[in-house]
Amino acid sequence: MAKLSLEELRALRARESARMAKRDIHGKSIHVVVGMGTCGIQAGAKVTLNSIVDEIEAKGLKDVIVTQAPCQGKCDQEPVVEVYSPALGAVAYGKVDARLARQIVDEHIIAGRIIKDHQIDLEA
Amino acid sequence: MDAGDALYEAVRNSLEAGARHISLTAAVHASGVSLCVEDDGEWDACGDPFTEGYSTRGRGRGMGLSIVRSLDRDSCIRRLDGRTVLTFRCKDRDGLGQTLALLFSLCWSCGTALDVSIGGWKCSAEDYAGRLGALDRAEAIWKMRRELALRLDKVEK
Repeated sequence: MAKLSLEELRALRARESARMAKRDIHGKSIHVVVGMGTCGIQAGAKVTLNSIVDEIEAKGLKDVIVTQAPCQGKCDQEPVVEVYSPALGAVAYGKVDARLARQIVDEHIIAGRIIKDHQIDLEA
Repeated sequence: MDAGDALYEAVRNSLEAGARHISLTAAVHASGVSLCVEDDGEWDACGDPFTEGYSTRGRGRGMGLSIVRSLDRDSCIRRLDGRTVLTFRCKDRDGLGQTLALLFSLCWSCGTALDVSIGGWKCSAEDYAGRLGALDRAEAIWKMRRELALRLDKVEK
């Protein structure tokens, strides 16, 4: 097998990271992605992520994946949280503080309702 | 920004340099904590990496190491035997335990080995994965946070 160049290795890593971040969720785990770039950290993303983890633990939920993503280009909306679930597909929320983080677990993940007031469009 | 935030920026910097192996050493003192992050990622010798906005990864980047420098003016980064070594000190260890749990999860997700040594106690992402399974599970992150907080308390005492 030919040796990969550094650029090829980087491209491979980027593809694998993208694949893991947006894995096929049909019938599988719920996946929560928290933006943890520098802008996210400055906006309080660590508190957001830890609040999500605490609420998932408190509610005894199993099989929820929580990963961290770099800056997604929506710095004015940080901390940004994306939720991928079989029931609701991919939904993004902006300015997620500790309170909204718990609400996302309770309303979106458990009750299956999108929190429209805080939903954002990452493609806009 | 606290010690945990600076450490997160430092390790993220290593990951973005393409590191496949990161070693993290923390020494807790009465006056704070000394941290050393060593990795096998790429090294760019041009310019001062602690300068705000300095980045090898395009425009709008390059804040991480400037944040480390803002917490410790004596922070240092050098290349040694093919590895990049970053050292800095923080006045307290606020956020350290919680950040370490997130870093184990992050490195595991990226497929990068992370070895941590705190006051002689050693652990790796591989060790945790062996005990807890997938480190991106919320349950695993929660367990790591609890263990690391207890471990850091023991070291301080």
